[in-house]
Amino acid sequence: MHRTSVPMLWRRFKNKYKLLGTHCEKCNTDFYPPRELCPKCRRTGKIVEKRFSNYGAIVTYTQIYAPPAGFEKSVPYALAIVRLDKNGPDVLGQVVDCDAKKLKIGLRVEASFRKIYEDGKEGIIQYGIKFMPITHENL
Amino acid sequence: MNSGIVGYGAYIPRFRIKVETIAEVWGKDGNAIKRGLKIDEKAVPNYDEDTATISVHAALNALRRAKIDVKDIGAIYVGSESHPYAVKPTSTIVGEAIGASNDYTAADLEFACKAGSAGIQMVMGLVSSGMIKYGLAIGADTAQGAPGNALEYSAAGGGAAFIVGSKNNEMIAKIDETYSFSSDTPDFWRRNYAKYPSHGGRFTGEPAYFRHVASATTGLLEKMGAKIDDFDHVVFHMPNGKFPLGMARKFNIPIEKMTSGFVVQKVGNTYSGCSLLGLSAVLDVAKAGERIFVTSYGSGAGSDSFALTVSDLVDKRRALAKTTKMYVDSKIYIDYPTYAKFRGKISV
Repeated sequence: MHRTSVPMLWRRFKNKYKLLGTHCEKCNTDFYPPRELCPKCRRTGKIVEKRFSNYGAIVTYTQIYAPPAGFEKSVPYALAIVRLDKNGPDVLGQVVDCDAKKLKIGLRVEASFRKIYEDGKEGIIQYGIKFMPITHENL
Repeated sequence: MNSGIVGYGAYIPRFRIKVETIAEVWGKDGNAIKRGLKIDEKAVPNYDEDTATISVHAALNALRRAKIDVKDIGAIYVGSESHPYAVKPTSTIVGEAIGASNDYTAADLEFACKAGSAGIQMVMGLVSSGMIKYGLAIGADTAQGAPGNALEYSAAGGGAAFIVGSKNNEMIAKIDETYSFSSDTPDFWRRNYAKYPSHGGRFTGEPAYFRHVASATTGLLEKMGAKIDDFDHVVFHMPNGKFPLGMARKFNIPIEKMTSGFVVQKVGNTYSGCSLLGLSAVLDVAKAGERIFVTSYGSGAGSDSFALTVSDLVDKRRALAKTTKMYVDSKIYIDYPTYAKFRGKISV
C-alpha cells in the first residue's frame, strides 16, 4: 500500500528530516510543518525558513493501542505534542525509547531522526523526526 | 599527507539485552558465555532505528564538536553491512538529515566490520589532496545474528562518525599515518538475500582476525619506525572481548592502554561501528599530546591501522556533545521477546 507518493515524500525531506519550518516575520508566528502562507496575515505576511530547537517539553500525550496499518510493530506507542524550546511551535510526534510509566506532561525531550514507516518490503522507507527523553541536558 | 579529525561523534541505541537473557532462551550457560566472550550485554536498536538513523545521530554529534559549516563537507561515506537499502545510498539520507549542501560526493561502503575505517582513509586522501575541505566518514551497523547462533550474543547496534580536515589548528587529533593489510579470506559472509550471516567458526580466529590485525599493526609500526610502546591508548577491533585482549598479549600491551577504548563488554560488537566507537571512547578521555593506535578488522578480510596524536583542542571540543560513555551508561534492559520483535526476528 502506498501511503504517500514518492515525489510528495521527496519534496518534504528537508523539513521532515529536521525541524526546519517557517516563520511569519510580520506577526512573529512559527509554523511546523512549514506553511507557505501565513493564515493570519495572508498575502501581507512575510514567510521565511526557520530552524527550530531540537529540544522541548511534552504538553500532552496519548498512548496508541489500535494503530493504522504499518505501525503494528510499534504498539503501544506514545504520541505527544511537544512545545519546542526558544518559544518554538508545538509539534506532534512519537515519543520513543521511553518507558510508558515515565511519560508525563513536562517531560523534557529531544528530537531524534528515526524510521517512521516502511512502504512494505520493497517500497520506500520514510524517515523523520520523533522525540526521546533527554538524558543529558544541553548536549 | 596532512589530515586529522576535526569532529567525532558516537551513537549507541538505548536498549540492552544481557548475555544471560539470550543464553537462557537457548538453554546455554550464560555465565560461561560471558566469561568466554568477555561480553556482558549488547546494544539493541529500537524497531525504528537502522544504519541511517544511527549514522545521522553520530554525524550530528561530530558536527557539534567540529564547529564547521556543514555546507563545507565535500564527501560523505557510510560504511556498514546493514545498509537499509540494497540499492539507494545511506550516505545521501545522512547528507539531507544533517543539512549538507548538494555539493558533495557520496558512497556507501561495505567491508564487513571495517568499512567505516576504510571511509576514513578515503576522506583522508580527499582532504590531503585539496579536493575537498572536509569529509565525513561513518561506521554504523545494526548487526544481526541468527537466533541461537553464537553471533547472537555479540551482534549489536551502534556507530561513530568522524569529520576529517587538513588544517592543523582545527584538528582534535592529527592522523599521523595509516596502513592496511588485506587478503581474500572467507571467514564470515552473507550472501545476497540471506537474512543472517554465516561464519567459519574457529577459522575466524588465527588466519582471519589475528593474522590481519597483527599484520596491519606491525606494518604501520614498521612504516613509521615506531614501537607499540610509543602509544598511550590502543584499540583493536572487538568482535568479542577475547580477541582484542589476545592481540594485546601478543604485542605485550599493558591492559591499562586497552581499557579506554574497550567498549565491547557493555555494547557488544557494533561491526562497522566497533573500532570507531573504541576510538571515539578514547578521544573522550585522551589528553593533549597522547598518541592513539587503532586497528580495525573486517572479515573477508582486511585491517586498517591508524596512528593519531591528540591536540590540545580535545578538551574544548569533547564537552560539546554526548560522550561515548554517556551513551554506554544510558540504557533500558529488554527481554528476549522484545529484542526479537525489535530486530525483526518475529514476522508481523
